[in-house]
Amino acid sequence: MKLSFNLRNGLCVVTLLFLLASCSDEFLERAPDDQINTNQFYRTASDLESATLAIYTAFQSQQFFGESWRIDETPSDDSRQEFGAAIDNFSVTAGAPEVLSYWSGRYRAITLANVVLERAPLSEAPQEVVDRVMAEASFLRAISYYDLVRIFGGVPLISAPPSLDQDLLFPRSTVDEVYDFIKADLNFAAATLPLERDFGRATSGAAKSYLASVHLTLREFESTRDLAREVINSGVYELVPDYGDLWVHPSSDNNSESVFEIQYAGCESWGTGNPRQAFFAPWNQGITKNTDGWGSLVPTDPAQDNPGTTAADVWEENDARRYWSMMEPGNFYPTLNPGDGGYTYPNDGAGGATRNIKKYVIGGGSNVCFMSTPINGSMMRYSEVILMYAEAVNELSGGLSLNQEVLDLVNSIRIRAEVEPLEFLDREKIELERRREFMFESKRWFDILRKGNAQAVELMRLSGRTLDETKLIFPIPASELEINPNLEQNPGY
Amino acid sequence: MKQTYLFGVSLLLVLFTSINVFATPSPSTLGLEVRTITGTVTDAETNEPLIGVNILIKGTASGGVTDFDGNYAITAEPGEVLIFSYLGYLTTEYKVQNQAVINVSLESDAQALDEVVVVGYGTSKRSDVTGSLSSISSEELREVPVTGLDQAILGRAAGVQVTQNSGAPGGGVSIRVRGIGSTFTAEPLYVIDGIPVVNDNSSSRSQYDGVEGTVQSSNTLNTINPNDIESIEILKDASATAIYGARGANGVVLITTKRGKAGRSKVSLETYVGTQRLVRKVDVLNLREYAEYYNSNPFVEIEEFEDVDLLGTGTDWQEEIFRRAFNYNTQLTLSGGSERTQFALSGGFNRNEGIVVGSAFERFSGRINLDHQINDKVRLGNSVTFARTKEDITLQDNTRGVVYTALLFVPAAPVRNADGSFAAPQDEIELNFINPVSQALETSDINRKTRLLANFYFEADLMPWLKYRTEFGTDLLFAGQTTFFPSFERGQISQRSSLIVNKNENRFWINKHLLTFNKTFSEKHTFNLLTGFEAQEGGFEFLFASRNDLPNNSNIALNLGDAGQQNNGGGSGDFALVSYFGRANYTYSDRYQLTATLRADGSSRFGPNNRYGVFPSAAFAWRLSNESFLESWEKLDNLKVRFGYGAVGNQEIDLNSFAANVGGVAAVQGDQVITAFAPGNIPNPDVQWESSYQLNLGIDLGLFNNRVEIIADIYTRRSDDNLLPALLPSTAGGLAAPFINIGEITNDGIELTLNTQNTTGAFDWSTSINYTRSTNIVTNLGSNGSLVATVEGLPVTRTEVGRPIGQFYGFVVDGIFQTPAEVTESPFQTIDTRAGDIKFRDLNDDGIINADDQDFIGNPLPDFTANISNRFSYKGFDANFLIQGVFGNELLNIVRRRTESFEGFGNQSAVILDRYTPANPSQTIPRAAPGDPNGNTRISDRFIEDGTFVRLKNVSLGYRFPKAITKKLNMSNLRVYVSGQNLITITEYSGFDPEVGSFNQNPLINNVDNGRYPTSRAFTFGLNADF
Repeated sequence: MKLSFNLRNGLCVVTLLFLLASCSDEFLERAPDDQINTNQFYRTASDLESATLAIYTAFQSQQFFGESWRIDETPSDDSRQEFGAAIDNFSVTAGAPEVLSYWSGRYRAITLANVVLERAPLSEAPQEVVDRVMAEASFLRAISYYDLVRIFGGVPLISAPPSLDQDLLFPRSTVDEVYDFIKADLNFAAATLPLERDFGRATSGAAKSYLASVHLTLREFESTRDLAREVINSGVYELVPDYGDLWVHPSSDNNSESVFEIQYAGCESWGTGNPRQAFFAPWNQGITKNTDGWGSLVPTDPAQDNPGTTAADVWEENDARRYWSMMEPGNFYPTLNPGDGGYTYPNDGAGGATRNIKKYVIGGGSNVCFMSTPINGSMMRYSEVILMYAEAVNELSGGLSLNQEVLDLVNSIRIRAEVEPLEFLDREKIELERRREFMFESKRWFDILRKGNAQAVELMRLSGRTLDETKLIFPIPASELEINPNLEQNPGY
Repeated sequence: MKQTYLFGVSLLLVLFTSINVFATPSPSTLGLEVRTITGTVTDAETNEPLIGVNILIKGTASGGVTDFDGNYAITAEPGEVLIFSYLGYLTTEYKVQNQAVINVSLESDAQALDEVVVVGYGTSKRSDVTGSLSSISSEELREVPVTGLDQAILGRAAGVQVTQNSGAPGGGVSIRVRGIGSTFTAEPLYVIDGIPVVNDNSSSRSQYDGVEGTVQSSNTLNTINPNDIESIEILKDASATAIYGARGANGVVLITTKRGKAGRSKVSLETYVGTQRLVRKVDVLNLREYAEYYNSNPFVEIEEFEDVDLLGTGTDWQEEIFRRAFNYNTQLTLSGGSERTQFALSGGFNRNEGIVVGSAFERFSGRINLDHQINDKVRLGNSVTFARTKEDITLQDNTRGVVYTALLFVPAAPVRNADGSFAAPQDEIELNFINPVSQALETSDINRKTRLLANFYFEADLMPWLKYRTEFGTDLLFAGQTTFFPSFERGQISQRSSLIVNKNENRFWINKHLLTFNKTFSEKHTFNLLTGFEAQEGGFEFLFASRNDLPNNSNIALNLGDAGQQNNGGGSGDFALVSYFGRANYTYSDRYQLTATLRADGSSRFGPNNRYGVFPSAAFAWRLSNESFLESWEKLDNLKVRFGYGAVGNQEIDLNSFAANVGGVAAVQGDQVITAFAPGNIPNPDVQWESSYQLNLGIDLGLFNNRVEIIADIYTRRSDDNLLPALLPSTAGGLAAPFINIGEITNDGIELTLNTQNTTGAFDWSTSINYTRSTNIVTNLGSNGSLVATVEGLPVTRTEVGRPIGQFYGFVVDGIFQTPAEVTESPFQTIDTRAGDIKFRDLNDDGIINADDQDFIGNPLPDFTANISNRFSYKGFDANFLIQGVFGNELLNIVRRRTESFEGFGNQSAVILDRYTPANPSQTIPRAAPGDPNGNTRISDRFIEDGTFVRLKNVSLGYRFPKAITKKLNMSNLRVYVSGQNLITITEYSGFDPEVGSFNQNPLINNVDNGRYPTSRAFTFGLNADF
């Protein structure tokens, strides 16, 4: 039926000749062979599971996790791009491809989530499946909007899949509206999703952690504290014993500390591998065993940036996290280039950089191909929940805290990093701890933004960048403005 | 299943034909004085014997044919009339008296107007044609040995622009008839011996396309052997193409292959050998110059570069990747037949090496054309051509392509080590790219195609004036690509092997039923009516598979790869078309001619809302020369004015875009990849045909015994309801945009053809000149403000209302900043702008140079094209040449964005020796600034070049041996020739060759040079012999 000219059509043509027209409709009716008509899909529980899994593919893409560091990590005082000074210098234009990429990657996830949210209630699947996939879609939609609102400000809030029947040129919503939308989605997800799931799929813990993060961004510390505490008390999560375990495959993936991460497989079809090694590995060191390894993003450095403000300046002695965050002269990594007995970072640097990022650089291997490694992308770890909890408690106690429960939790992170426990907490200590724990993980820039515009500008000026407040959010992509006259550009662009 | 259909059809045939045909008894002649008559038929002018002249006894079916020496023998009785007919000669009748020998000399038919041309679904006398068509005869086709039929068309037909999109053997081709009328596909429909073929090159897309981004596809029609072609007709105006309805909007190219003629069997051998070379190199830095350039801003000190005087010239990478290539072609044809059965069989082999190492094209092709007459009322026959091609493809038209990287690879790097293995990069500066020679030779990308085009016909004269014809045709194309990346470890670069295999199957059938009515009433009213029904169905299926880590680089097979890393996929689709059509020609007194055509098409590509389209056209012609008031003008042989208007369609859109579909996406679960389903597109259930309305006004003029022939056409072609993908914001989630019928493009043009027979007699000289001027303007894009087309992600053209399609768009250069003061006084560009950077013009005068300061900076479409061909013959010698001229177009040379960029450590064009330095305040080449902080390489008119060129396209010189010699050799004809192609090109273009063409036939991307495989200069020596 699928392959050959079918009988009915054959007969039809003969009939056609005589009757002229009677069944040409049938002859011309061609259902697609290799695609499923939308009306025949989104019916069963397994259709919905499949459609929900599809949302996650948006997160794997280069536009989402793969290269989002260009937008949400580069501007921070921890890192700079080797080539492409515009974002570092806060002179990026609306036409920059990475701006559009960041935007479209997240709207891709939002669109796929909207499809599930629209179709699931109409399906024949059991109610609990419908509820769960809708919660999952809401969670994924929320964290996409969370990136968008922090990077671009108020963005168009879209909650239905696109069709020609509706106006697709949405205006921007306000920042508050976007956050309300995010909170509603996350609250629904937190209440509906199960506590634990296989394969790193969204859980109630992930939804609560992100909700805690949203409240923290909005300085709603009580909510942050309560949500973080719920996650901590759920008993689902614990720190892995060694910080390095987080950055070595396969102990990196879906471990006890993982709250939410992007799933990757190496050397499979395009877009299913983690491409970050290609951008982070130092140039021309043969580490990846492929032609990639471009050192595109590198740590800030006292030689180039203002000393005292850079990624190299924030460490206490013997902090184990430093070795796993960046390659520095003399650092020896036995798992990289094992054929040569390991890899030692050269004393004079590599590819023009004096340091390079270590996170996501895992070397070659049978499951490593060009721009494709199997290591999952960390989005939310238990350590972040602890530090959010600590920050909320600390803020609620006026910026200084001696709360032993919190100190113990924070010190569990520090002890793992082989540095001295803290005696008390203050804002600076928590900020520093976050900076060390999540260096190059796209947390730092958002932490800087949370300080408020004036402070953020001041801090970036201290690190040697030139900017004004308008540059703290990115321009709406030029091509979007061109297509959609209802959008308004951010001031300063 | 298919059999059922065939059975049904044959049943039908019997029904139709048995009524009348088989019942007719063969007339028998039972004369008393039957005798054998013999004689010789010769050419009245040259007295050469004519072979294969048809002799028919009037009023009977019996007759004969002249043999190799022009002799015939026939039995006839006195009083009967012999009819001698031969193509190109006036038919002559002789009444048999009592003689036994009748020698006849035939006058050649000077009335070239009465040559027969192929029109849609039939043939017509040239003089009866009311529409606009260009015809290319087999003589013209044979003038120059060509590998592809596109080259046979080039320069021969006014209004038809042929570009080779790649100089690779078998490489991509674009043919545009009367401009570009669609933003989607502008290629014409090909009809090869009755089988419609869309030259969509995507089925021969190289595997590099997936690996390296976009690359140029090769030509799917390269399976057609041009030596098999008898004639090519190009239908241009709506009146001519309307009979092809929904597929006629971009013009129709009719290809007819050679058929047998009754007469002595003839064996023809056509063979040639040739050689090709790169026309010219692009001037890049040699090692010494490169070292000096490098030292001016070193990344790390390189010891060897310390004393540049000690350095040689280094590796000339162009010398390494280009070679003298050889080509070879041989073709054997056997043709002939009896009165009732004619045949033409041929087999050919062509091997064409490319001038880039590692590229080649091979074709084996065969053809069987048969015609059989069951009786004088029933005929049947077939045309079957099959071909097998093999292309070795090198990566081109890509920043990682061989041609591109050869310009950028540093001259310090060697090609090979002393032991012959490919050299590894030795310094960091060499790490930019893979050694282009190893890239060309080691990576193998082989495309193999097998194609069968077969058409069977059955024809019966139901009445003397009513003919029924049915055809069943099929086009089967199997294409397979095998791409192998070998494993190697070379210094710091290593590569794991991988093998990708791709199989494509395309299938198609068509069935036609035609009734033709042909009758003249009262000697003045001639009617020629055609009515037909046609059904066609086609489909494709593709499959790909890959594995990595093969155990070695010599056993290349999927089963040897690592099963743990295997990957596969595929897809399929099908389509159908049902059509009813009719055409009426009415001629009054050979003076007034009226043609009306109507076709209704139903296509599966469109949804139930808009499945059927109706395409009418009408044309009127007035043969003024046959009017009594012009009779006295003896010098005037033909004067005809033609006027036509009609609507045709274009349906070549993706299948099923009217419906919403979900497609597979690769998702990760654990360390496994599994398929999840996501919506693929936003549907438009109302999508329908693109329409094209064309008005044509033409004049045919023949003077001085038709020694001067002028054909002039003026047309306006409005393409409406153009399918454009709706412009969606990214907030729509990257779903494929729906196609909506919103665009409108107008092409206006003038075409002139002048054919002159300058001298006749011993020295025969004829000239043909054609001139084409066309203007294209986009008149509506609906809500789409503009269409932007990209090459490798780089926006290169923009299409906007009020301008021609696919215009170059970018910044305007205002010179080079000469001083820091000039930088500060000028509109702000970037904070890193310095003296020596390019000064861009502030087009909107807002004091800042940004995206708003872009404008239209060039037009890739020519103002006009003109071609001149000349043919000479003197005794046995013949010579011809063709000069091709393309005027007023522009090229965007984006290779220069890298070769004049100062980016990385790549080699640079020699023009950068004149770059700006404080000591050398250049006005043209900016300073060397690593990282290009000022964006000097942004698309600007800096990279726009004049694309005008005049080219001596073909020259050939042949010698036909005299009969005296050939007879001794037992040959009827022997000709040897030498020919040259692309011998001289006059151009200002700085790249390899100004003929760049369109990128993958994309109507929006023309003349963008992204490392195109250059067209070569070729010399050929050939021999044609008939036995």
